Amino acid sequence: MSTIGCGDCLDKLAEFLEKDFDPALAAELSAHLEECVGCSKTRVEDALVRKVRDCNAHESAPPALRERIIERIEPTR
Amino acid sequence: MAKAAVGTGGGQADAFEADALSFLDALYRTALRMTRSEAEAEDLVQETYIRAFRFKDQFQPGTNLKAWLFRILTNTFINQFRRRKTQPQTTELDDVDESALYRQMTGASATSTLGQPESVVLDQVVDTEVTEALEELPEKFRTVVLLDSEGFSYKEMAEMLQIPIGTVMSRLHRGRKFLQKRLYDVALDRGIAAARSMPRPT
Repeated sequence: MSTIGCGDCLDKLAEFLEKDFDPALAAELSAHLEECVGCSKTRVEDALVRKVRDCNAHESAPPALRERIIERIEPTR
Repeated sequence: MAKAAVGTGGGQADAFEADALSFLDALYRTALRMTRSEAEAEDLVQETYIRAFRFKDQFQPGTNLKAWLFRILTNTFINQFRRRKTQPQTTELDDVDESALYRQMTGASATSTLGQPESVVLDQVVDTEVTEALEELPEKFRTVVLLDSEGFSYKEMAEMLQIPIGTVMSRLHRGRKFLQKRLYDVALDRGIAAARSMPRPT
């Protein structure tokens, strides 16, 4: 039986990620995310997530790669 | 009539191409962290686009194109690139037992390392150090951490990787703990180094 409601889903997710691994909480949360369409879009966006995104943000694809891809996909039109 | 129909089809193809190419940088930076090689990242992304255009009829307009492309990227990586890998370190890391890794990671508690809020500690870590810590992460943990940073929900990741949401959550939890510990260690080293070069009360 899931004890997670939509109201506390995000708080519980943050708590789950913050604390030591809790298999029971993981099971309850995943059951709720599986069945609830609204909460299935819920995710935790914290300082660590932003740090990972920022460290990659400056990477852009080399222009030659873009050109090669366009050349290769043109014939599929 | 026939000409008009071709014209419309061409327009749709152009729109798909433009939309798909708008995710090139996102796919490339993820591929770069997954393969840990610029040359392989380029190959992986190129292969991803070739497949995406070959199977573009399977994409349902109105659904999430970014998630669809990332699904092709992760599948291509798992099916082709992982097999190619010759670096012994990767194999070694892939074989690590999750619970053993977790015990190893929790040896030092990240939250008490510096007694500072996480964001303050993270501010002391530079991008290249985050990149290095990420690349040390075993592949299955690294993949979910990267997809999380691209803004995908856990459900989207589960569908993309064809694993249960519970598995996504446990990999994300463990990947994040590993990363936190590494980054706190880096910040701690930096704090010690700074204290040595310029002693001052803290």
